[in-house]
Amino acid sequence: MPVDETLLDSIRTGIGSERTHSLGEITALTIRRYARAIGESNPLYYDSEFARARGHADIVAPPNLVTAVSSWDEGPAAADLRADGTPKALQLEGLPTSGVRVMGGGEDMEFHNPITAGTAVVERTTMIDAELVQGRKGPFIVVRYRHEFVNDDGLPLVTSTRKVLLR
Amino acid sequence: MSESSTTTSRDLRFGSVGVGDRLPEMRHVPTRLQLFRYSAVTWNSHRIHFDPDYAAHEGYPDVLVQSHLHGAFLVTLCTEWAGASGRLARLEVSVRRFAVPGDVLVCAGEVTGVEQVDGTHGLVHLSVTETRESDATVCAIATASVALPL
Repeated sequence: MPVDETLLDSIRTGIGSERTHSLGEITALTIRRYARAIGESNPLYYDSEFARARGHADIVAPPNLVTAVSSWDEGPAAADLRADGTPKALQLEGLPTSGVRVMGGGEDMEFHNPITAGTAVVERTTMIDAELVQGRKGPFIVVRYRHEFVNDDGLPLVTSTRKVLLR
Repeated sequence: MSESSTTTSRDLRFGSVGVGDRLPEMRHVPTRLQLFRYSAVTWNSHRIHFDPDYAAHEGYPDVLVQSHLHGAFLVTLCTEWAGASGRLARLEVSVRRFAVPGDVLVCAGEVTGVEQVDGTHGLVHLSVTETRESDATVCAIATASVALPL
């Protein structure tokens, strides 16, 4: 699929549309395992009493946990994965599912409020804009998404703006 | 892997921070085991992070450190420095080059700006990098903002 104005126009029809999905509860076990996996020893991530003494309801998630999780459900069956192990059904709204190479291009995260264990999190995803760039190795399209992570009451927790590159 | 924790005891104040201050460096040496656990906890099934044969097929010398794990190392650099009274408010991160298990990744940072927000808090702006020690390749760069009490 050529990366050109036609593809850009088709992607741009998705700008502004918002998709909301519930990620479920961020459990204490997920927080502790994530903290372990990144090599953290901060008691804020492991010790409920320590966290309560610091004014939190329970242990809190390391700041970039919610943006790092690839899938919040069981994911597809093995037969529905590509050769590289990723799901055949691309989760990125409004992008072609084949014929282009999709790469991550950086992330800007704002941490509004700590996420304590037991918080039910909702993610709102919006395509913000898309542009065609003439690079040295040929054209590519940059698509920007905003991911707003909020709690059940709509309190903002983390906002992440991600760039996705299509070649 | 760095396991230091000053987070419990440090009590950094806005007034004691100045432009040009350097954050204490932190070193991480990711292993295949760490990458496996990171993929598992984030339910990331991409073979590039756990299957060395697949990584070789893609032209890489080993499995690749996940981009969010690079980010997590930079988060820890900032939160360790900020201490218990500080709060990471923002991190804008860009992964520039890949890293593989065994690479010694040095996280470093410098204060680039200070901004008093209100009568109780200030924001400190940081420029941070994650560099492979063996050849000085910058694997990730970021800017961060940390909120500190006055």
